[in-house]
Amino acid sequence: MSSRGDYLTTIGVEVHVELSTVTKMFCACPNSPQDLPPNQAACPVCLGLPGALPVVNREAIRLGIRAALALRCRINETIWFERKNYIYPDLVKGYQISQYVRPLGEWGWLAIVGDDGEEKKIAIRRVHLEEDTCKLIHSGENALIDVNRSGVPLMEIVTEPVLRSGREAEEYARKLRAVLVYNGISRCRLQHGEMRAEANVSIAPRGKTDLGTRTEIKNQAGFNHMRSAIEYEERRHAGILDAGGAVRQETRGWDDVNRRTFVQRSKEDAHDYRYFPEPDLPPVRLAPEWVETEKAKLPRPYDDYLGELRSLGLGEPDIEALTRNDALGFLGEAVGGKGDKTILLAKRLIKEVFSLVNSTGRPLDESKLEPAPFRRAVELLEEGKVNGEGFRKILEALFQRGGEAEAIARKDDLLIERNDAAIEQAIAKVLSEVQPMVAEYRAGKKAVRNAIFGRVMKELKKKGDPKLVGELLDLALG
Amino acid sequence: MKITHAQFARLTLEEAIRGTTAAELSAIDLVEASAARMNVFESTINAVITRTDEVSRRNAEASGDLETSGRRILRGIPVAVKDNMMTRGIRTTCGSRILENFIPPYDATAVARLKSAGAVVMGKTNLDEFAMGSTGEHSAYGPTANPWDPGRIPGGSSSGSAALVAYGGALAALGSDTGGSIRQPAAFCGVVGMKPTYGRVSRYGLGALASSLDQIGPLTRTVRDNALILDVISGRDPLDSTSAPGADSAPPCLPGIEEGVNGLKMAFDPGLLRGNGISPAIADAVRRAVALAREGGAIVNEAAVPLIKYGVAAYYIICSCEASANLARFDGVRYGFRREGGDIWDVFSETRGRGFGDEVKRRIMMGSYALSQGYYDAYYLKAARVRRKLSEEFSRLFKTVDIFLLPVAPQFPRPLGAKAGVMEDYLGDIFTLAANLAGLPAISFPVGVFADLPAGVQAVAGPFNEHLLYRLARAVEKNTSLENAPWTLAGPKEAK
Repeated sequence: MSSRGDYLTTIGVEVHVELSTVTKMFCACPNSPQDLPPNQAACPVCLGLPGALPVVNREAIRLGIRAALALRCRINETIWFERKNYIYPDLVKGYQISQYVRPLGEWGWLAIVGDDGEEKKIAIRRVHLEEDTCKLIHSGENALIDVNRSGVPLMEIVTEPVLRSGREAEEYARKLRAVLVYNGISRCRLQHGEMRAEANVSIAPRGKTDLGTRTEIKNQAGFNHMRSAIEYEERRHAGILDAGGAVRQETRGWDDVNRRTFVQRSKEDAHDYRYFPEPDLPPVRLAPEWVETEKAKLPRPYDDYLGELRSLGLGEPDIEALTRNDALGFLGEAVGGKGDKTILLAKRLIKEVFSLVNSTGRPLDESKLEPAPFRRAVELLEEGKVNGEGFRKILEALFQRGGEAEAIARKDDLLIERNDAAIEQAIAKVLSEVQPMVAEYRAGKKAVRNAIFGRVMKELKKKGDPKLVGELLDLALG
Repeated sequence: MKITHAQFARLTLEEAIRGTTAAELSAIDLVEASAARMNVFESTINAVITRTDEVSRRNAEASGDLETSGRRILRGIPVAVKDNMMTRGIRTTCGSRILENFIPPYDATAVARLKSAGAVVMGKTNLDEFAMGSTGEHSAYGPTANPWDPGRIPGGSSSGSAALVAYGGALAALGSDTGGSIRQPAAFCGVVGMKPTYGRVSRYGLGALASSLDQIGPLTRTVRDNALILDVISGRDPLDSTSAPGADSAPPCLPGIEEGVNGLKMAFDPGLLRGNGISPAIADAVRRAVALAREGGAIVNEAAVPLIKYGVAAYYIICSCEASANLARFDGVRYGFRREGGDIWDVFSETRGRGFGDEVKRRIMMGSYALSQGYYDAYYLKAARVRRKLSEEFSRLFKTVDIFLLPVAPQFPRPLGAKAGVMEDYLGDIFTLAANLAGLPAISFPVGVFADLPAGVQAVAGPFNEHLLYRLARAVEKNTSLENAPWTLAGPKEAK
């Protein structure tokens, strides 16, 4: 009886990502499928009405270039779109505008930690652009169609079949997600379907050059599901081969309740997509100067940035918190070209902002907080212009409503009082109210000074400069 | 001054503009006369699927368009639009049952340009279903008859636009031309039809047959009217990615139209006038145009574009491939005709099986087949290569020549209902589809009447040289008489 150890697993992963553009891929409708009531982002183009024509969204192309660069792909100087023909109720034109012969990017790589613990470069075969379909909402016998998602810019990223385990596939998908978020290409929110992964799995006896018959596992809800499905398929294929059978080429889904895969479509039902060049769209030239400009605008590579944070002394728990909250890109932008204050900003982000994320249940990228005002708020604290409490109030306002740090500090009266006269006035008022304590102090009970100091600070609504207040108080107490 | 429909039918578009400008004619008079003309002829000719004279008149009255004497050039001019161009709030069928109840929420760019120039759309004209066909018989709304002889076909697919203009129901109509669909019915109905350079007129809002070949253009009774309409509808459109920068920079067509042909270099291929099943009178029509051009001072030599003979094969592959995808959207899910079925796959096949006519199904099948795995290289790619080579041949020719003259169709219009074979109809497109494959402007204009039927000739030029074609057509027009043309009649002729 042979066992699973006798087989070599081969996996290729295809990932679809919705790009963070303002408008859709081929029309001017807003790209915000979740933020609008159903069928509100709908025009003749996204409805596939007769006579409607696509116009390429340059911003989607730009994000595609950015992704291809971040994944170290070769970028084709002239690209074009093809029609991928199939009929389904969620596909308004009966074809999807996609890329086939000349994708935007080819032959890149992404480094992961392989099963042997060493760095492993996962070869990326292609990065191409296409459009999303409508969303189907099934209710009983009927299916409802939401056109809002129709025409949302999608990027497809396909690896070579070089992954060897469910663990590696999961690691690759997580790393890819982090890199895309870090580079501002997509928000990749899995719960909103902004990132979807599919895996092609096959096993073959070790030593054989043939990869074996593959099965395709569709649209898993999460990366851990993909891993479970891959591991299930490895066992299932091994069982079939051990029994002398043959694996059937088919598309399968993952049933997380029963922890198994199930047949969705057999090879006989496979589509012939009848690709041909999209005649409504002339080829797009990606001028080398354009690509160079985008290259110059990229943040430093994700792995380099992680390495730098470590070398600056940031610990693994902090790095884990930053990556878990998709905050590396945010931090990078807050640090900006200046490169200083990295650790300071990172610590404040982790301590203050993530606690807001936890208390509100609102992820950082869904808050109103922007990197530049965040940096300014930290600077106000550092410069002593606000105290800790004022800083937290500014952050909360920025998080909930957005805006500029200084404007909020001024409007909400959070700037520290540095006016000698105002402080002296407050001291005089407090001293006249607490004459017994003053007497005690002067009688040598120095400990009451702290209580008096507290009263003064309260009188100043906690925004007196503590150092200045202390000095002036000592002067008044004599 | 009220005018009768018979007077209206003899009016040119320019005369109507002058009449309204001089306040001798009111726009209302024109609209009423156009409607009256349709009342007389439509039962015989069936040029219009949906009449819009009432609604257009109401809209125009409501917006004061008919009274105000703005500077808009087509103010109050009755026109018609082929029913594959989207008209906001007005049913647009593409000649198909599958869109029998479809009311688009937007105007095609070309229609919007006509409207904003002040034109009044009187109707949506009949066509071969989805512009597939060259006889006017493949319409779900009945065939259109030829106003010269209602027993004959008007040609197609812009059958209704050509017939309506020919009987004087409108001063101009828009057609679309994928392989000759403006030029061939124009020739069969004795009117002027222009297929502009690919990219000169926006395709936005044109129900697509073959996206890389389709182009909208005008059909009119006179050459000057045609140039005037083209100048109104052409121009770059940000909504059509294939609309060309040259659409804005090309010379306008009307201003130099009277300059004649003196010094223009022309060519024709006598070889094309032999064989090809060509009627002797059609060959004579081309020779007559050559003679008139020479009289006008043009230098006419012989030249050949040999790959034209492979055009039919390349065209029907490319056109069918693109059409098979363009028509996939008609599935009964979101709009249009829908036939219920057991599950969604039944709905698809029932809807499409009953919504489309035979010619449409034939082309969807041919296109799907040619694009299938294992056949793509042999068909689509090969056809695309022939297309490129043909374009190169034309490019070489137009380095030394301004205009290439050739027939429009090999034969005169055949009797209605006398169904020729499919291949025979396809082969009839041999002279027109080359200009679509190469993206070049081509005009069809009458040169005379032979045995009571008009004969047209076709002229092709280099990209954005429509103005040269108009100069030639205008020079020939001055020497052409179309006796007993339908627009000179008080009522339709009886079918023979």
